[in-house]
Formats: sequence, C-alpha cells, structure tokens
Amino acid sequence: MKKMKNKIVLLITIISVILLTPNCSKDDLVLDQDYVTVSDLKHYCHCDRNTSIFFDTDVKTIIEQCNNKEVKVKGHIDNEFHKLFLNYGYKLNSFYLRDIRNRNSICICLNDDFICSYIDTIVTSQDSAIINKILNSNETDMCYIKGILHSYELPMNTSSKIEINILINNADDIFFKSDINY
Amino acid sequence: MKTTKIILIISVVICTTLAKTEIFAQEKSDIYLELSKPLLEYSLFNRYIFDAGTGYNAKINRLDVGASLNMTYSKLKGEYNTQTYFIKPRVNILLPIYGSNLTTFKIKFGLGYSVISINNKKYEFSDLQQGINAILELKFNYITKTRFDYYFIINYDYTFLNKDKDFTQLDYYRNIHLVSFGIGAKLKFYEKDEK
Repeated sequence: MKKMKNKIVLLITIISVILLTPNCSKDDLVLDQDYVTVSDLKHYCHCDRNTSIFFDTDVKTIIEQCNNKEVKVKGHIDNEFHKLFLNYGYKLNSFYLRDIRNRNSICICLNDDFICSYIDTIVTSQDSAIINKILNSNETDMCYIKGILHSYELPMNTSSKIEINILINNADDIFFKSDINY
Repeated sequence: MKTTKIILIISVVICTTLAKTEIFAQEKSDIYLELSKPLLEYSLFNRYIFDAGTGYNAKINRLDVGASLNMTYSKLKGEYNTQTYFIKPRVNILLPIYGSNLTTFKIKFGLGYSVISINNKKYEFSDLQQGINAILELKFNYITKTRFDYYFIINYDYTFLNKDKDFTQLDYYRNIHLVSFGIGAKLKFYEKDEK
C-alpha cells in the first residue's frame, strides 16, 4: 500500500511539472518581421493572464516588452465593425481584430492618442481611407495590419491585467487577402 | 431505417447474452469504449468539449498491450463557431499497480501521432495541424463476473505540434496539454473463446 502511495505521489509530481513547464517557457517573437496572429501577440505581451503583486514584481518590464514597438499582425475584422459604423460613421476611431480560431481580439485605434473610445475626434483623410478599405473588403478576408503597439496595465481588485492596443495611422498599413492562412 | 432497427436489436441481444454469462477463465484480451471530459487545458483553443475513444488490448504476461483511437471535439460558441476535431491514434501499454478480486488499478502509457482539423464554414476557413501525442492515464477498473467491466479514468494528454509559422510562431501554442476525467466499459475475451 505504501509503495502504491509513493507511485501516485510520483505521478502527480510528474504531471504538475509538465503542466507548469509551458507557463515558465520563454518564447521569442519578432514583432515586425512576419505577420503574427492575434493570439501569439496577446500571449507574448502577457495579456492572457492576470499579473500578481506576489509573482510579477516588475510589471513595468512586462509592459516595456511590447510598448511602442512596431508590429505586424493578422486576423479578421470583428463582426461589430459594421454595426459601429452605422452608429458613428467616419468618426469611428477603433475596431477589433479577431483570431477566429479562439475569439481572441485586439483593439486597433485609428487616432494618435491611443484611446480606443468613441469620443468626437477630428476625422483625418487617412482614418476615412482605412475605414473605406475595411468597408470594401469581404467579411471572410484575412486582414493584415502594420502598426505601433501600446501596452498598459489595467488594475483589477487584487491583481491587474496587461492590455494592448495597436495604433494605425496610414491606409497603406492595412490590406486584405482572400486566402486565409493562419 | 428497418435495417438500423434490426442491427440495434441484434447488438442488444448479443451484448445482454454475453454480459449475463458468468466467466471464470483467464482474460486474454478486451475491446473498450470510453468517454471523457477535459477538466484542465492549456492550448490555443482552450475549449474542448468531450473526448470519445475506442481500443483493443491483448494480455502479454502481466502487461496489456494495445492500440486505440480517440477523438476530441470542440466548438466555439456564438458567431465564431469554429469547430476542432482532434484525432489521436495511439499504441498503448498498461501496467497493473494494484489488483484484487473486485478492482484493479492500472497505469497506461500511450504514444501516437495526432491530427487536428480546424474549420469555420462562415469564414470559409479550414486548417490541418499534426504532431506527436502521448498519454499517461490512471485507470480504476471495477471487475464484474460478466463479460463487461466498467472503469474510471483520469489522464494527462500531451501533443507537440509540428512547426507551422502560419499557425503560430510561439512554441507555447505548439504544446497542447489536456487533463481529462472519464468513464469507460470494456468487453472481455477469454482463453476459452479462442479454443
């Protein structure tokens, strides 16, 4: 019976080690080389977990890993875009880019101040050109975006979360392809 | 429809007859059917609904050696209803670690190659990924005097996907970890049957 207990303890230890290993692994991602998926980017920038005051003493370093970096990202334009366009027209200053494999999303901002809100802002010709490009694309097309990452801490009750936005200024930095290649 | 009914009735009759026959001979092999629900998951998808599997084991000395085929299914809720089929053929070895007249406790090690099919009709998207797969399973078996035994399983299922830059550029998402809990039933064959 004692032998069996030891075997079970050993098994539980092995399973725990294997399960914890992926959380400790350090993956490197070149943000401005190949177009990365929304999920890859969110994981790389630590957006898929809560940061704890006990384990993440240096949240600033985590934020700096992505903040103000140029990034190339691919995904699908969120379904809500057309509804929001009906309400805000060309004053729409943000939309979401999604990974349809798991619903992960990133907010894409069209104005310079990194605020993905719908407060009245001046609509530039580039903003309108970006919106027109989206309106002329098919829902099934894969969207490729080049922009600047903005990473920040979102405080919650006892922990906090890292959030990211992408700023896009130029209509040349967004294009669509009909062949979906995740 | 009539043929399906007949097949169903014949299957029920055979199973009940076999199940009611008391057997005291040495168990030689078995086929099994099991169903499990992933409890913990670390993967790109993070939403597995259930796993169904079938397999065959033959007794060689104290070990059970066999092959199995499992399928894990998942579907995203809402508008992005992406479906994922995870097909896992494996070769397995079962090692008994405890046994009595009523129960047995076994460890199963399995190794195979898995294929993941991902598709979304709305977005006309489909993808196929593959990689090596391994399983470590604890099997608690309740022994009956009939042809059928029932068991509980808890397993750790690991898949390491082949490199595909379009699918993911991170090694983190190439690893799929699943911890599942489930139930199963096996139909036993005895030495007597083979004579």
